[in-house]
Amino acid sequence: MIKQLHIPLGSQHAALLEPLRLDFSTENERIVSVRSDMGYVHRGVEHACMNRFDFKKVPFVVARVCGLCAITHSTAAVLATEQIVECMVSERAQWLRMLALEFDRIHSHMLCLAHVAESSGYEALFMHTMMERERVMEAQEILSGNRVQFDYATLGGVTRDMDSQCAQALLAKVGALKSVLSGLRDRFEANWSTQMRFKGVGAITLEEAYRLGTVGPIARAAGVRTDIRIESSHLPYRALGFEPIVALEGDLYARNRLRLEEIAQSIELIERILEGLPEGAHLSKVRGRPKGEAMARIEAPRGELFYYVRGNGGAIFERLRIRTPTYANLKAFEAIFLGQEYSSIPAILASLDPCMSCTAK
Amino acid sequence: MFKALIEALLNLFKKPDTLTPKEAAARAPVSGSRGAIGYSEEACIFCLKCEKACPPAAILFIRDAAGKESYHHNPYLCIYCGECVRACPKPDEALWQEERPVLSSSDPAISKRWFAMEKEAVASKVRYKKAKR
Ligand code: SF4
Ligand code: SF4
Repeated sequence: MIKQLHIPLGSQHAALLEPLRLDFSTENERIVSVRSDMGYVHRGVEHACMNRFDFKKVPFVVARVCGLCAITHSTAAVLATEQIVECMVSERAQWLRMLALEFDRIHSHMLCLAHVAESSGYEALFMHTMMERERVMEAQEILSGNRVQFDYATLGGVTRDMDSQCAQALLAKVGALKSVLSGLRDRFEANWSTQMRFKGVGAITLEEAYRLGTVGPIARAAGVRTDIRIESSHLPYRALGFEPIVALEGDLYARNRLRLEEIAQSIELIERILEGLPEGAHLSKVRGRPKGEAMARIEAPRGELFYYVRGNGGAIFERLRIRTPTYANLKAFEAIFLGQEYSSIPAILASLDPCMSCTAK
Repeated sequence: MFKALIEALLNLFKKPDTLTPKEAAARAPVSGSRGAIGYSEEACIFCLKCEKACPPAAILFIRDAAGKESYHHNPYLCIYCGECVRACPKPDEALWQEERPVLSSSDPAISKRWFAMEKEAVASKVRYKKAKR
């Protein structure tokens, strides 16, 4: 006998990390339709940037859009603004920006993995992952002076330079992380019970991922070779020899594996950056006021982050538009949920790594 | 199964990774950590660059009838970004950022008064200019 059920999930729910409302209709345990509703954390950041804050302060304001990818937001705002004001950014500053972005990616991916573990009922792995993530948070404090809010990228460069002592401390931190990474991979990939929970669950096909405009790790786990780090030339990722990682299966297991591989890759990139950091000034003067329009794309931990700015020669932007990765992925979320068991929803949702505070801003 | 058992046994004898509140309080701050904002009136030249640079407007200067500025900082509004220190022509002397964490010992009532103070900071400067003319 088929029993029809209507189950709302959110906007406040123990298994949800973010205020998002999902309305599921199920037949027995299987999801047959889903409707999502976001916007519970709208704070009017764009409006504030266009009315209250002058353009030099905007990178600090948009950093508060999201606590997890604060640095990606401020870097994207800075990269866009720098195209329409007079300033010369040194190679060193660009490399330091990449360094901060990679640290951000590691800690964001680790948080996502931890939540996947927690939502699938593996509490010990959650704690273990969060414990190791602490090394990255400490490294971020050494680099920028704060664990969460870097306030690192600013117009004309970065807010503070790095000396050899700091570089050594960062190398030690990533070295420590590297040594525990294989243990983590073992638990996520080779553990018998997690494999049962992850394999074949929450899959999206390559065609669907293309059609729905999916971005970031979800797209790459499904085989789409998309990574703004090589697609845009705002930051010199090519000089680091960066190549995107792609998986094929598109399921939860593939997304976990992809994130773990990307963490390893980011560690490698950090080591390369610290090794080959060019000399130069970390900050240069910015002249003039924004005139004209510009955009910047950047690979946030969750996918493509897009910034559009337009200035009319005044101190305050005429328009600022933020398009976040979760917003681009929302359609794919719905497609992924269809046909799944209801009990897998928390784990799938965690693996999609939604960021509602970015999306609703 | 066997591996997990050994690990569980080993974990019994491991030191916990977390710190007790006492240990955490006794820990030295990370070098370069962004903490409290310090100010010295003697060294300040009252250029008001810090007031202008601060993103959340957590620094205010209120001008009295004689043209003397007084510095006000709202530690609850401050985001500890350090923009003010970078803008200051006399960093480390007039305005600096400490490594120690921000203590909650400052007057919490300042947040209540802050909106009025913001208005006063603007009005006091206008008033002064008018009186001078
Ligand atoms: S640290 Fe930042 S927020 Fe705090 S007073 Fe200085 S400029 Fe303002
Ligand atoms: S920027 Fe420095 S010198 Fe100028 S008013 Fe502020 S504290 Fe005083």
